[in-house]
Amino acid sequence: MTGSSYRSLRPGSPGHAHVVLGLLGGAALLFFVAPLVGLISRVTPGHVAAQLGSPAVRSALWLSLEVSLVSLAVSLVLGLPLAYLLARVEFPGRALARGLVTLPMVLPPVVGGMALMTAFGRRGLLGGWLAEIGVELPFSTAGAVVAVTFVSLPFLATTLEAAFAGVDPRLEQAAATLGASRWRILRTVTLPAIRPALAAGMALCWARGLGEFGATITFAGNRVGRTQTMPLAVYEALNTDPEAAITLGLVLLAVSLGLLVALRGRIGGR
Amino acid sequence: MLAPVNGRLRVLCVVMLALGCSPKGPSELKVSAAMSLREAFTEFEAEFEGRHPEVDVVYNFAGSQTLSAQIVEGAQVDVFASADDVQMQRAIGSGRMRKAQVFATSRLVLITPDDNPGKVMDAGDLARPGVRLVLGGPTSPTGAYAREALAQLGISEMALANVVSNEENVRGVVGKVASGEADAGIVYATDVTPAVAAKLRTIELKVSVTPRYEVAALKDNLHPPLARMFVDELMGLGGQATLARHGFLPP
Repeated sequence: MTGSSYRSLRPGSPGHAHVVLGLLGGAALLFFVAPLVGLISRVTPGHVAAQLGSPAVRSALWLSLEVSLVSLAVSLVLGLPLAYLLARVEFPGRALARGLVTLPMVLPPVVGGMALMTAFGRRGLLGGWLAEIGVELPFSTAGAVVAVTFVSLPFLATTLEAAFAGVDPRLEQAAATLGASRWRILRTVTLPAIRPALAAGMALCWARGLGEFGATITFAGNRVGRTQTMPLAVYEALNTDPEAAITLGLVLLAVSLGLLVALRGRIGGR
Repeated sequence: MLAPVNGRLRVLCVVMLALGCSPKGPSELKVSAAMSLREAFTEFEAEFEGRHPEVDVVYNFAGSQTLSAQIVEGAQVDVFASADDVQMQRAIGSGRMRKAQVFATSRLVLITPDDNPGKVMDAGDLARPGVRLVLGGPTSPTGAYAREALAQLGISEMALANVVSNEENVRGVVGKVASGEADAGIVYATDVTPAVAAKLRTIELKVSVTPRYEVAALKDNLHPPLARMFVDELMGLGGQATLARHGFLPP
């Protein structure tokens, strides 16, 4: 029914629309696939094996996993309550808070790194206080985690915020009339309802964190074994051994792609 | 029925062509130059373009190792100015370079933030555990020269253990020290530019390491006469005077 009314509004057979859609969609797909094929065409299995065998590469890979996973955990602990607040609790300045949370997504990461330095650096606003309690973030793995979290947490928070806003309040009201406590409603009704969004948000957050470069190198520096994650190692290798850089890039890409396909496939597939 | 689409496509093509074609104007001369040459080369550009209005010099400033990697990968460049011989030789290895010549030299200095949080008084202090030292990466010319200097001072092992960041180019080292995040760095004397001088303390390094800047035109460049002219005038009196004003030493 809707189909026929659509047709009556737009003259021309749907065949043409499909051709146009197919061409543009195909072009978009090609745009994403071509660089991937380019990377793969420059790599031999021997290269990959040799690179994965190098201690420097393994250290960067493990550091990347460590930093991105710790950052994901921090993002969850902080981002979940934040998303709930933004979606469900009325408070003055909520619109501003929403804007602030999305800001790191549009900010160039290098600017984010500079901003982190002005706040948490040695001469930053909180630098003196951090030093007193023995915390030095610049040039440390903790600093890399801070940089990665700053950039990737918004991806989790915004995804979850939309999900919290989309939960049917009648479900929670029904649970409340049955005498469930607020905490129990959150645990047994609200959180299960947003589980798909939680998985999607975590995937986005982790993948973004794994690829983080600008904020990390600006705030935490490029220190082998401490802050030199895979993207930083790729950048450095690009200047010395482009073949190695391509191989490293491909390894990082494979990890990210595997993660995204696994999680998006699980959630997106109806 | 498809005519409107075709019409729109035609407009799109015209727009794309217009964007793709450069308007008739000065010829672009693409010069890849070591980051430390930025101020001196920017001034030289104004002088060069003043003498040759038909030329528009376009710079790509970065660590020389980045620039040589781009040349090896086939980047369209007319002239390459490297901060060391290693990166020039790497570019020459691509078979694309004409004869390279030294056009300037420099010297290394130790810098600390103005308030000297690491209490670095001389190069020997770089070996003290806990000092946060920032250097150029081992392949960047500035990092290679700095490592050579540390070796001459006999403190390589201890000082390198203090390195908290390997920067892509010398200005990265200056930035990390000027911001006060690092305790010390080794840079070219010319990098203590007026813009950052007030934030830095400079300590002379007693080493015999002489940074040498080399320049060469590319064989496959788009404007062979212009590229040659750029190199010749850089080597000439005017170019040398400009470099000297920015603290560079003669070849």
